[in-house]
Amino acid sequence: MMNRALSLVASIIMGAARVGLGILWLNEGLFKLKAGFDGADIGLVVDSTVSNNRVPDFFEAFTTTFLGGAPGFFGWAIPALEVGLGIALIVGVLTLPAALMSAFTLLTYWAADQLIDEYPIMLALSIVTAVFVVSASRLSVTTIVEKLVQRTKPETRWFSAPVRRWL
Amino acid sequence: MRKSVISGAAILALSLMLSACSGAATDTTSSEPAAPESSQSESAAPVDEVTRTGDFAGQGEKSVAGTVTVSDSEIVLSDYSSDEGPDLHIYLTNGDDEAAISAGMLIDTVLFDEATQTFTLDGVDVAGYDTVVIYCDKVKAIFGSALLS
Repeated sequence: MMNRALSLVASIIMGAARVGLGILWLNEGLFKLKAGFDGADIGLVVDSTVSNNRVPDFFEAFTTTFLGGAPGFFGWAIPALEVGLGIALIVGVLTLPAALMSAFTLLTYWAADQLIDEYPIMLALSIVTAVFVVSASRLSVTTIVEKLVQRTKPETRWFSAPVRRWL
Repeated sequence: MRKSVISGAAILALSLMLSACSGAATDTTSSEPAAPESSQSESAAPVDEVTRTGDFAGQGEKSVAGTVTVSDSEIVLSDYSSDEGPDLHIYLTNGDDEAAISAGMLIDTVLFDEATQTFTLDGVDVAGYDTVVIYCDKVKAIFGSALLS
C-alpha cells in the first residue's frame, strides 16, 4: 500500500518534470516560428560559431559542414524539432527518445555557446526524465494506449519490457 | 521502490536548485560588459544637454528601423521596430562589429515591438561612443545599428 502511494507520488513528480520540459520546448519552438526563424538565422548561428573562439573546433566544423550546407532545411527543421519534442513530452509518447534527444539538442546549443535562462533547467529536466522514464511516462498517452491494447489484445508483447520504456 | 522514489525526488530537487544557481551566476558573473544603472522610463531629456541622433539600419537579413537620440542622461528610441529575437539588447559601441560589442557598453534589454523606449543612463560617458547597436546576445548576432551624429 505504502509502495503504491510512493509510486503514484513519483509518477506525478516525474510526470510534472516531463510535462514542464515539454512546455519549455514548445515555447522555444513556437517562439522561433512566430519570429520567422529561417535559413538566414541558421547562417547567423554558423557565423557566430566561426567567429566565437569559445566554440569548440569540432562543433565549428559541424555547423559549417552540416548547418551551413543546408541552412534552408535546418531553418525549418530546428523549430520543427523543438515543437515536436514539446508535443511528445507533454502528451507522453516516446518519452525516453524525446528526453535523450532533448539533452543532445541542448548540448549542441551549449557547444554553440548559446545560453538563456531556460537551458540549464531544461537539461536538468531532460536528465531526470530520461533516468526515471518509467515513472515519468506512467501518466501518459502511451499508458492509455497500452491499457486499451491490452484490453483488446492481451497477448500482445508491444508493451512488455524492455520495449515499453522506449515508448 | 521507496529508495528509488526518494532518490529520484532528491535528484529532481537538486537539478532544479543547480539550474537556479546557474541562472543566478549568469546574472552576476556574466562576461558581458558591465552595464550602467539604467531603466526604461517615459522621462524627457533636459533641454540644455548635448544630444546626438542616428537612424537605425538592419544588418545582413535582419531588420531594425527607427531613430535613436542619445544625451548624457538617456537613450530614446523613436518609431522603433526590429525583427524578433530571443535575447535582444541595446549597446553603446564604437563601430558595429563583434569587437565593438565586446568593447562596448551593454545598456539594457530592448523590446522588438515597442515603438518608443527610453533608457536612463547614470554615470555613462556617452561621448566615448559613436554607435548604438541592437544585438542578440544568445546567437551573438548584430541585428542593426545607428551611427550617431
